[in-house]
Amino acid sequence: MLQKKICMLGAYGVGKTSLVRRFVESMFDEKYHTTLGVKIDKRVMEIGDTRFTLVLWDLAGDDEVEQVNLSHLRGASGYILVVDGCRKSTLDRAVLLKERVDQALGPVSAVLALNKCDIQDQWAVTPAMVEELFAHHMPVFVTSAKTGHAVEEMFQALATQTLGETTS
Amino acid sequence: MKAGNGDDRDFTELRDLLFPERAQLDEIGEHIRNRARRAGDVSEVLPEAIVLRAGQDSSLRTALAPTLVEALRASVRKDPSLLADALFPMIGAAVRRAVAAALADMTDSLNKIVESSLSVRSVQWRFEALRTGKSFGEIALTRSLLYRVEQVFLIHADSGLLLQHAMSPAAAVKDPDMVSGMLTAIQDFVHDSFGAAENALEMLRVGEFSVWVQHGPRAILAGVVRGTAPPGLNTVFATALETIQRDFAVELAKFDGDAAPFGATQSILDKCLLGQSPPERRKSYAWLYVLGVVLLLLIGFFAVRNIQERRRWNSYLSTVEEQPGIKVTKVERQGGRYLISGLRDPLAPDPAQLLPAYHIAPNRVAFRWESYLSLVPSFAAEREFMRLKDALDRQVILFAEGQSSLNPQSLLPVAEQFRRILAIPDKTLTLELAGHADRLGTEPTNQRLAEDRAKVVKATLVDFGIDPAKMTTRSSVIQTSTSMLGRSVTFQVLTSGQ
Repeated sequence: MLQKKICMLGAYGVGKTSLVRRFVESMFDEKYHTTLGVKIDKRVMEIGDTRFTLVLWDLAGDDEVEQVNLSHLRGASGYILVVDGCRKSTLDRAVLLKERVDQALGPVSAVLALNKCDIQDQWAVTPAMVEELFAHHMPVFVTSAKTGHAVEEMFQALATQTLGETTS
Repeated sequence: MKAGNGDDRDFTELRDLLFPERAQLDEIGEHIRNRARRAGDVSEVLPEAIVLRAGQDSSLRTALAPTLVEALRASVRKDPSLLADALFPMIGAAVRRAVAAALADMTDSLNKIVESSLSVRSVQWRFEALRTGKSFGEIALTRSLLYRVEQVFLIHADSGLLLQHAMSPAAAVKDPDMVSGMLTAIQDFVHDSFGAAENALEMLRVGEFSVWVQHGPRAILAGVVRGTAPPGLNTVFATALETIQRDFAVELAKFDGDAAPFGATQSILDKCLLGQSPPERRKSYAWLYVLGVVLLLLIGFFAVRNIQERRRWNSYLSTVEEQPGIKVTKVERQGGRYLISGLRDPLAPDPAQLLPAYHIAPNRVAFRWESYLSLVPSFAAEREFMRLKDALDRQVILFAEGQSSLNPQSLLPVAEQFRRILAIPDKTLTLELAGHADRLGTEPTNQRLAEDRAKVVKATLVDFGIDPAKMTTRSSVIQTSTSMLGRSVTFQVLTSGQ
């Protein structure tokens, strides 16, 4: 079966692990889950006639850009940048991360998740700000790991992108 | 200019007529000036030229060596992985050969160490070594290492994606895709955290499990081992990985998430699922066997003992039943003890006295006898004898003071009884006649008086027809007595030996 390695990237506490949990088990863990290092999950997906496996590398979120473990990125077919809508700093961090990853991996599939839309009233980041920074590079999804909003669609979109790369 | 042009043409025509080879010369000149065509010429003869020159002397080798060395150096400086990839299969084999030689040395020295120890196991191994023709150390190594390769992962080195997976039937398998990723992540972790060189993670150990990791340029082979495996297992994994790297070089280089082309590696991975089951099962069978034999022996021992005991008991019982004057009416068994009931004539022998002769413990047998009088002839005679003896022993013949004469008629009953007791068959007996005197009178007189009284009685009995040989006499003076009983003759029947 076809397999694709996908990395979850983003600042500390933006909800990477929660998004993965939502996706692989459709179950939200209310307890705040801190990742240390990396955690790996997988999900078998079907797009069109193609059945394939997404292997998700959930990388620890550090607030030092230099700390991103580039060795975990090796061989990835795509990545998901996660931004916490409540914290502007996580958006700045995402910009830096994107630069680092593009250097390390070259052009690969990517999507951006503007997370925590269930508490949008507390947001410090507007979708417009994100669109302005990223719309030219990758699709942007407004998601909630808590309600599951747009999570499935976001992963589907990324999966379709990586498949497109393979078939082209 | 026009005429000149015409002259030129004519001149050319004339020249062509005179020298037809000119076109060819032009052609050759052009060939010499053209670098590409010259290179083509050289390339045509280059291999033959090299072979030719190399056969003549070593100048070609000397000329080429610096260039080749420089070229290699430049290549390595530019991309070390290129040469590393090319050399990988060779290096593996060379290193293995060296390690195998070192291990052989180690095995030899182990031989010497273990040879001095003498246990049951070592004797078994020694026997096995003799039987199989292997060295003792080799047997000791393999017999003491028990393991099983439960899973083998073939992992894409960069992405950590699983290319192929093999597992033994008994293995507990979690999702191999995720395990594969995690193994790669752990390797990254070791590398990043401890600054270890690339591909440094070779062994993970958790409890009885260990993960053996072999690294290739593009693929990783990880074996999950339960128990303690011999170091030689690493060679198996290394060889498998080298084979895969060689046979699937193109597929590995092109890998983009599609593991299908690696299905063909399954047979290679399956060969890595080695293991050695512990010989304990055989050992436990041996124990069972020994236990069985011991049980059989015990059962046999008790059976034989039981049979012997029963035989002894039966012969004892028949002996008891044969005894005259004993009638056994019932034999019971009560918790390992026998109870014999019946009738017993008091004259019959005591059956309890017979037990030791039959090796039967007296406390194992109890008796309940009722007395009776048996009509067995020997018993009737015995009883008659007892009665007559009793009667005779009570007879007293009295004498007057200082006298030793008597009325012979008073001896008739004694004579009659004695005649009858002598008639009982199987009895040898004598009658002792004891003459007595009291203390009145002088001692010599009394002594003579006692002797005389016994002699008178004896003589009278002889007169009645009793054989004198069947009678003895003795005498005694009863110092304390002044009564009539002191002046008497008493009788006692003595059986032989008494």
